[in-house]
Amino acid sequence: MSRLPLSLALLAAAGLLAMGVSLALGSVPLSAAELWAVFTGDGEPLHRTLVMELRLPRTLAAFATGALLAVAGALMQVLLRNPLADPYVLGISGGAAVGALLSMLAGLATALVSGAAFAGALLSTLLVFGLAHGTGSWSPVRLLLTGVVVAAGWGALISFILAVSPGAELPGMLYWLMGDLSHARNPVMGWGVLVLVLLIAWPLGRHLNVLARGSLQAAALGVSVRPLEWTVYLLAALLTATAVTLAGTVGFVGLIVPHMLRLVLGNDQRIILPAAALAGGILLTLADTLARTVIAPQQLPVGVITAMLGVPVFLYLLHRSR
Amino acid sequence: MDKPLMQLEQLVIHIPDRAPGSPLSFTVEPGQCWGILGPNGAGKTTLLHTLAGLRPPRSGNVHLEGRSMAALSRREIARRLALVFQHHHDGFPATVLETALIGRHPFLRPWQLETAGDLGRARAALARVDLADLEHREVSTLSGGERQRLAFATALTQDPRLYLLDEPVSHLDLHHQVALLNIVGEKVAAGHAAALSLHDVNLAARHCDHILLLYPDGSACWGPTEDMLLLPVLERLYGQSLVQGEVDGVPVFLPKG
Repeated sequence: MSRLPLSLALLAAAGLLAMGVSLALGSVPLSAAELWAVFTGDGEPLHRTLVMELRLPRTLAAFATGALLAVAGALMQVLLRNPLADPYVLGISGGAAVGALLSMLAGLATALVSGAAFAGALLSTLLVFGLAHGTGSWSPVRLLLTGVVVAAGWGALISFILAVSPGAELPGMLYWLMGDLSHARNPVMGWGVLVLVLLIAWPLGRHLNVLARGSLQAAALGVSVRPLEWTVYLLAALLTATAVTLAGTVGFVGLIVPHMLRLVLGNDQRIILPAAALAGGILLTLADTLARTVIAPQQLPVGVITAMLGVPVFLYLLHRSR
Repeated sequence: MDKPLMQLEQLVIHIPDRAPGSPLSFTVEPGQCWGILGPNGAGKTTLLHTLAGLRPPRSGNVHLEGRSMAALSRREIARRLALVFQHHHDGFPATVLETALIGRHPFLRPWQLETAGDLGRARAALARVDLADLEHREVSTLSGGERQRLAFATALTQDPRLYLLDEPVSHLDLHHQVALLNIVGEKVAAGHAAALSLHDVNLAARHCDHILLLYPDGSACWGPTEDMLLLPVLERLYGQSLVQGEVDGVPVFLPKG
């Protein structure tokens, strides 16, 4: 625990720096002094509009999305007692994607697409919850298998929707499926959910540490396992649903961020949860900055960047840990 | 006389597809060490898990310090008894010291961080089982016997009135078998109590004052060690012919070839 304040302070500083970089870079690059002037109120009006109305909402949305996914991943890994679980493993993203694609196919407005994605994520959550609950014994393996099979079902539906959609709709749909922040305009809900879930989950940190040792061991050490597991599941589902609503299904953040932090900081969830929020936010902020600048004026979906960064980094870590 | 630590009332453990057999009714008093003997599959582990409240009995009741197990929260139970499992699952990386330290979990409030006192207890427990030098080692790098001693150290850190130990010495070398059972003996002499399943009749004869025999058909009998560890009884229990000897006034049993 002694490393908690220092590592969080370092990550918070890096987070501010990443947001600064993201705000400064773009079609009109700003210097640090110009950016500072915007925030103290005496910058040029053009710069002010650029930062406050275009870049800041997107940067805040990117940070929130990364933080939501990384915390969801950390919780899901403890819930399934598997360090390689990610927020999408239980089919939440598939349900959200089906909702989003159907509303795009119907030609609905962006706000309604987000709403449909959230509804699809919640539907999938309840479906997996109900099916895994079932009768008889319950275990992380049963939850995992239920989630994986439901996700496969969503995958088939997604392919079906793509196959029958008119060609003009396809690029937008593919961008959504890869994860894309260019339509993210309102980060308030993302930040609200993030802060709420962290306030609920952080005091549970030591319980989660014990739960990671297995449900029987946790019960023997005084943890009420079932209520805790369902709480964790619902919190992770809420985080994931909020993230996919903001930005579509951005991959790898929820898998590699908690995993890397565990390699560096150990497996104390009281450190991992806040650290994952900061590190996930940093990673996605920087990835989104790359996505909108690397081949500007064209924009890449941010999920392409996280996957391109995530796959080699993850393989390297896996290779090193043997 | 202290009030009994644990009281079993007509307890029938739940093993699917098995006849109820004989209900268990006895009390575990402070200062007693109960050995649980029986062949594979007789229900030793199921009984220990039932006594720890981890699975419901088919019928009957268990009382812990005079209160019904069903009325106690998991946390209240964990402050009074520790269960050391036979198998250990380490899904995530963790150090030896962190693993011992989780024994303090039932005593800390949700927001509370472990104090220097908690760390001291964990380090003292590791020293008792000869793991002090390994406190920074990854659990996954320990040998089977070291892992088992670490699980016992977690229980020592928890330091409950009642220790439930599921085959605590099955992976240990001879020295550490005796060392672990001597620690249990010290705890029992200090007014704690223990119930442990064992496969070694001779260790039970030396270290336990009461014995519970569990038969595969669900029947059971119990009593003071000297009344229970008799040649014909043990031969029937294990379905194995034995020879009996005596060392230092304690009976010794060996299987016939």
